[in-house]
Amino acid sequence: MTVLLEVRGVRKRFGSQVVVDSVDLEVSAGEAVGLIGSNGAGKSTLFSIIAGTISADDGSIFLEGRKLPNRADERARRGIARTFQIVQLFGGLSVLDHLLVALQAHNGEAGVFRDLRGNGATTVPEMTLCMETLELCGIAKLAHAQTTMLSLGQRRTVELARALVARPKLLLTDEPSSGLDESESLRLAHILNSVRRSTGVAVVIVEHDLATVAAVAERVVALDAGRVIANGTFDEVIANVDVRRSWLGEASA
Amino acid sequence: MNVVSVVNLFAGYGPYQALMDLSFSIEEGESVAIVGSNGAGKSTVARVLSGLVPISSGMATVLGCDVRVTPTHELVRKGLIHLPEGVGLFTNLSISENIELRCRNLPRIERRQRVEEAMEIIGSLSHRRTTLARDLSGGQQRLVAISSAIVARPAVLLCDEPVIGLSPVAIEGVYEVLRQAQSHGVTLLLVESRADRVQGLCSRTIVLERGQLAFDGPSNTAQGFVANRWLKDPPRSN
Amino acid sequence: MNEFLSFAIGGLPFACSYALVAVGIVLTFRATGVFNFGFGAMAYGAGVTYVELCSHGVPSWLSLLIVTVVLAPVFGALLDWGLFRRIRTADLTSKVVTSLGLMVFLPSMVQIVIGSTTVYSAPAPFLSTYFTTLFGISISGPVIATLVTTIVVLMVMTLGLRSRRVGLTLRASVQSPRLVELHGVDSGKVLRNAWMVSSSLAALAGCLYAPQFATQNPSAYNVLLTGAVAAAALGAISSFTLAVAGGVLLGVLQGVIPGYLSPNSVWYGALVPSIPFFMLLIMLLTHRGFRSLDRSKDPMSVVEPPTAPPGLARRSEILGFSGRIVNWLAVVGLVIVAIIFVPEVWVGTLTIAASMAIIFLSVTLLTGLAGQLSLAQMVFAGMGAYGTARLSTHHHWSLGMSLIAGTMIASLGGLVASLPALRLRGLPLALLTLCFALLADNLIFPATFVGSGSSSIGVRRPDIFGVDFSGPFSRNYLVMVVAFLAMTTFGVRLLIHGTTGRMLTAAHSSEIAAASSGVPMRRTITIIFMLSAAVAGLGGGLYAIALGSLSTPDFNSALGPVLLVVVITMGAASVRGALIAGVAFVALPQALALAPSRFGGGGQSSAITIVVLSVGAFTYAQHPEGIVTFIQGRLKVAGLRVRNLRGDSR
Repeated sequence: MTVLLEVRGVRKRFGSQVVVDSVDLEVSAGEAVGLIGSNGAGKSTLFSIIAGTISADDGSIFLEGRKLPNRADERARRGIARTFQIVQLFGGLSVLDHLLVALQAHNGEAGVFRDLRGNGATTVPEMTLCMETLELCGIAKLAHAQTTMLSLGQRRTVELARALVARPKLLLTDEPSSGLDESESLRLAHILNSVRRSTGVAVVIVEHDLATVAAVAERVVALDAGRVIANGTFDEVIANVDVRRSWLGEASA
Repeated sequence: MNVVSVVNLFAGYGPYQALMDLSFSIEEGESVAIVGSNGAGKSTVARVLSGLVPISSGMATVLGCDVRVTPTHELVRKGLIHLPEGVGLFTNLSISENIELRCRNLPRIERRQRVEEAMEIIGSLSHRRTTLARDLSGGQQRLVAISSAIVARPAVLLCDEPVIGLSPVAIEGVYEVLRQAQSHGVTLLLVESRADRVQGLCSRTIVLERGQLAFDGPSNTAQGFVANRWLKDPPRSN
Repeated sequence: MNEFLSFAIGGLPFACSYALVAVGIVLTFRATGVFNFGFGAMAYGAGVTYVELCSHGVPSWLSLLIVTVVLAPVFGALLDWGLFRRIRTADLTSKVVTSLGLMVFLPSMVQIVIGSTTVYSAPAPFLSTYFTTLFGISISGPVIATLVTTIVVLMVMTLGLRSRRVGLTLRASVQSPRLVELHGVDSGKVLRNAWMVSSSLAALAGCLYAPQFATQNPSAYNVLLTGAVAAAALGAISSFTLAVAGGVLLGVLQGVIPGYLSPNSVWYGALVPSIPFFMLLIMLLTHRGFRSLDRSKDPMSVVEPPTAPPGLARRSEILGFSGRIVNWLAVVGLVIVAIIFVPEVWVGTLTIAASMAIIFLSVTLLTGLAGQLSLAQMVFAGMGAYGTARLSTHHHWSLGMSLIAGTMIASLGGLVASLPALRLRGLPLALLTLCFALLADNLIFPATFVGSGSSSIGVRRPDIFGVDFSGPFSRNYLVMVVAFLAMTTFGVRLLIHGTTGRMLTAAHSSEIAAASSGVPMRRTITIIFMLSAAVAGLGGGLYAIALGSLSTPDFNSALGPVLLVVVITMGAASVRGALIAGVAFVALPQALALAPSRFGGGGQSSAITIVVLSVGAFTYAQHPEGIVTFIQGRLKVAGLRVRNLRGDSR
C-alpha cells in the first residue's frame, strides 16, 4: 500500500515540558489507525500539529510524499480533514450550510469574487455532493435543521459529515465517543467504518474507549509522555506491558 | 434525614423540557449515581439542584433550602458543591489559588492548612502549586477541582461527569479521590453516562430516560436494567 | 534639570487623570469583561456637573464630594443594573459595542441636559489659591491636591485588591461569572461594586481634569480617554500598577515634550497629541497579552454555551420572496419620486444622505459581514474625500478619475489596516483602529499635502460626459450618487447572501473549525477590509463633492464610533440598516432644526439625533439583528396573529 501520511521526528514543547518527543508515524492510504495514550501523552497535540493548528518545533510532515504547507486552511485544501474533541460547529448555520462551507472552501470556489460575479448561489453538483455525504452519514433528514437543536451524537455526526464532504484523503478524528453512551459510540464507529469503505479515506482516531478503538482501528499506536511506545494490531498493543502500565493503570509485572 | 429531595420536578431550557415529573430523595451520607444516555436530563438534575437551571414546576430542596428561592451562591454557602461537567477550575488561577478560592473566608493559617491537605490528596502535583490550571492536563485539572472541593468540607458534592474524556488510569485516579470524599462523610451525587463505571463507588443508581425516572435502586441491579433496556429498545442517535 | 522638573510638574494633573481612568478601565475589564470606552464620556459628565455645581455657588470641595461619592457610584450601579448585568455572558464584541454606545450616547445626552458648552472656568477642588516653592520650583496648590488625592485613592484600592478575598474573587469572576457563583460568591455584587468604584474613579478624574480647561467640551475628554486607554494598554489591560505607571509616564511626557519644542514647529501641533496613540500602537502590536484577550474563555461555556453567538442573524429570512419584491419596488418607487419631486432645498440634503448611506454600508460590510470592529471607517471615508478633492482641485484631474483614485487610496488604507487584523480580533482590533483614526486626525488630515491645514479646501464639481453636475442643488448629481448607492447595495447584498456570507458566519462562530475546513481566512479578511475601505472612500468622495468644500472636522475621528454604533443600532446584518441609518443621520437633524426649540429643535438637533440613533447599541447583545429587523420580525408575528385570528373567526 502507498504511504499517505508520513510524520518524521516531530517535536513540540510547551515551556519546559516536552509534549511530543520525536514522533514518527506512517499512515497508508485507506488505513485506519487508532492513537491511544493517557491524558497528556501528546495525542491531541500531535493531531493539531498534523492538522496545522499548532506548529511543531522540529520535524516534518509529508502527505503523499510532498511536504505540507504551514497553515491549517491550506492543509485542509490538500486533503486533511478533522473533527474536534469538543464539538466545533458553526452557530447560526444549518447542517447543509456546514457542508457547503467546507466543500466550497476546499475547492477554492468560495469568496468575494464568485459572489460579485453573481454566482453566489449553490450549484447543483455542490448540492448533490452535500446530500450524498449526509446520506452516507445517515443524517440526510437533518439537512435543514439548526445545529443548536441537535443532540451531542447528532452534532458529532454533523462534524463528521462536514469533514468528509470534500472527500479528504485523511480524516483525523479526536475522541468521537467522548460524552456518548455505549450505543451511541458504537453507532458512530459504524458510520466511520461505512464511510471508510465507500470513500476510501484514511482515518486516524484518538480514543479512550477501547470498544470504539477495537471497532474502527486496523492498527493501533500507543503514545506515552510524547513518545511512541507500541505499534501493531489492537490485540498486540493492548497486550504490551508498557501500554498496560501507562494507559490501563496496571502495576508492571 | 433527606439532604436532597426532589418532588414532581419539571425543568428545562426555554420551551424545551429536559426533566419531566421527577421525584427522588437522598439521605445524608448516601452515594448515588445518576445514569442515562445523552439528553436524558442527568446534567440538568445537577444544574437544577444548584440553581443554574430554573424550575418550571414542582419542588426541589437541598440541605433544607428551597432551590426555587435560594440563589446559587447561598446554596454553596450552605454546603453544596457542584463540579460542572468537564473542568470546573479557573484556568487563569494557579492550583493553590483555585484551592484558596474555595476556602477564602477562612483565616489565613487554616487556609494554608487546607491547601496542604488538598495537595496531599492530589499527591503528584505538590511541587507545582503555582502552576496555572490551564497548563495542567484534563485529568490533573479534575483531580485539583475535586480535591479543592473536598477540603472545603461540603455536605453535598455534585459531580457532573468527572471522568469524561479521561484514560482508564486517570479515571481510576479520580475515583480514588472520590472515595476519599466518601470517607469524609460527604453525600455524593455522581452524574455518569455509563452504568458499569459507578458500581464500586455508588451503592444506589438512578437511571433517567428522556427526562423521566426509569429506575431507582441498587447499582448492581441497575447495570442489568440498563443492559436489558438497550437490547429491547436501542436508543437512536438521530 | 529644574526646567525639566517644572515641565514635568505641569503634566502631573493630566498624569493623575490618566492614571485614575486607566485604573477604572482595568478594574471593570478585569471584573466584568467590559472594556468601557464610556469612561471618557462619564468623566466629561462628571466634569460638567462639577463645573455647574461650582458655578451655582457650591464650594468646590463639596461639589467634588457630591459628584464622586454620591452621583458617580449611583450612576455606576445604574449602569450595572440597567445595562451591563444583562450582557454578562455575552461575547466580547457585544460588550465592546455596548460600551461604544455609552461613549457616543453620554456626551450628547449631557449636552442636551446641561447645554452645549459650559463656559465657566471652575476652581480646583482643593487649595485653589495656595502656592509654594519647592527646591526652587514653584508648585501650585491644585497640583499638590490632585497628586495627593490620586495617591491616596490608588493606595486604598491597591490595599483592597491585595487581600486574598477581594483579589482572588475578582480574577475568578472575570473568567466565569457562573463558575464563581458555584464557589459561593455573589457575582452580581462583585460586578456592581466594580462598576461603582470605577465610575467613581472616572468621576474623580473628570473633576480634577475640568479646571484645566476654560470651556468643557467632549473632545477634550476623548483625549483623556485615549490617554487612559494607552496607559491601561501598557499592562495589557490587566495590571493596575502598569496602568498607573502608564498614566504618569504619558502625563509627564505631554508636559515635558512641548516644553522643549517651539510652538511654531510642525511637530508641536502633531506630535504632542499623538503620544498616547503611538504608545497604544506599540503595545497593541508587541504585547502578547492582547492576543489572548479574546481567548480567555469561560470554562462553563463549553458546558452551557451562551445564547447563540450574536454573529449574523441573516440566514433567518423574515420576508418571503413576494414580500421582498414588493419591498424593493417600494424602495425604487420612493427613490424615483424623491429624485423627481423633492423640493430644491432638500436635494442637497438627500445627496448627502445618499453618500452617507454608502459610508454606512462600509460598516455593514466589515462589521455585519466579517464581524470585525473598526472605528476607522471615517478615516477611509476621509481618504476618499481628500483624495478626490485634492486631485480634482489641485491637480486638475477629471472628476471621475479623481473619484476612482480616491477610492483606490482608501482601499490601500484598508489594506494597511487589515495587516494587524490578521492577528487581532474584537477588542484589540477596535482599539487599534481607534488609534489609527486618532493618528489620522492629528497627523494625516491636517498635513498640508493632504488638506490645507486648518482651512478648508474647495472641491470642483465639473461635468462628466456633458452632463452638468455643478451647483449645490443639482438633481443630476443626486441621481449619480443614488446610482452609486444602488450599485454598492447590490454588491453588499450579493456578498451577504452568497458564499462569502456563509463562510464568514462560520468563521465568526468557530475560527479553528473554519480553518480546518479550508476557509482561507487571511485572504478573505484582507479582501473584505480593502473592499470596505473602498466603499467608505467612494462614499467619502461623493460626500466631499456634495459639500463643495472640505475642512478637517468633516471627517473627525470621533465620528468613527458614531458610525459603528448607528449602523449596529439599525442592524448591521442587512443592507436595510445602513440605508435607513444614512437617511436618518442626515434627515433627522434637518427635521429637528425645523421643529420648535422646545421639542428639541435648533442647536441641540445633532445631539438629539445621535442620542436617538445610538440607543440600539444598548440592546445589541439581546437583539444583534438591529432595530429595523427586530421591528420587521415583530410586525410579521403580529401579522400572522391577525391572520390566525381571522382564520379562527371563520
